[in-house]
Amino acid sequence: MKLKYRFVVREISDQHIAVAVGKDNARFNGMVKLNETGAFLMELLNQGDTTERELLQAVINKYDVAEDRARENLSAFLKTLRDGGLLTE
Amino acid sequence: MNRSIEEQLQKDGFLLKLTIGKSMEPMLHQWQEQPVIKVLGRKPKRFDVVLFKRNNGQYVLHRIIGMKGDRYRIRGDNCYETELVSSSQLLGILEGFYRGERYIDCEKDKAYRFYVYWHCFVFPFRYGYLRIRSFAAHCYRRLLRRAQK
Repeated sequence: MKLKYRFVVREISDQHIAVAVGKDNARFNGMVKLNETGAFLMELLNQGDTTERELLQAVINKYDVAEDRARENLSAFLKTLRDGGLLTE
Repeated sequence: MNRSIEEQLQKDGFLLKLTIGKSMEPMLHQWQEQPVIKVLGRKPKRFDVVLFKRNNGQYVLHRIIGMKGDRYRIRGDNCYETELVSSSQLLGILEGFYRGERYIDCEKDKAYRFYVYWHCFVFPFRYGYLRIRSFAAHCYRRLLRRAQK
């Protein structure tokens, strides 16, 4: 899976915000608000094609959390992106 | 849900996303730089770039170049026409912008401050060029329309 548009993640007023860049800016005209984990995942997705398993492992490695909790948060995050039409599988 | 720019500014206190045309070149280019606009927290001053809403509903991001009475004289960096804007039309102020990975702070970045003073200083010399360019574009469009008939 990968992001449908190319994003950059910025930190403004203690918030993580992702916006589409370049000509993708004209196709996706919005801001995606993220928490710290979401910003980390967004950066990973931005790097290219990946799998849910790889993202899950990256979250576990970075935040040292239990797999169940990491999977639950990751699934919620990916569902949000899918519902917004921001992911291609 | 699409929110208006006013709603976004009120809720989040800032805007990172704004469609930009050519009127603020060479500082801001369409689809390139990302302006960070914050809700007005102070009285804007000369050379600040402000977001305002025209009476026709259009949102514009241009620079304050002076005052006329109690209204602001505002002009885009790539424009030659000045417009008068009242303070009630102002929505936000440009705090900085991203150019690639670099963040340029409009208050602190020395290169940006130099650009502002230089750009405004040479405006009288650029005015003639901008008028000629605009007239040439107008003539070209008329010629094209005639050629298409």
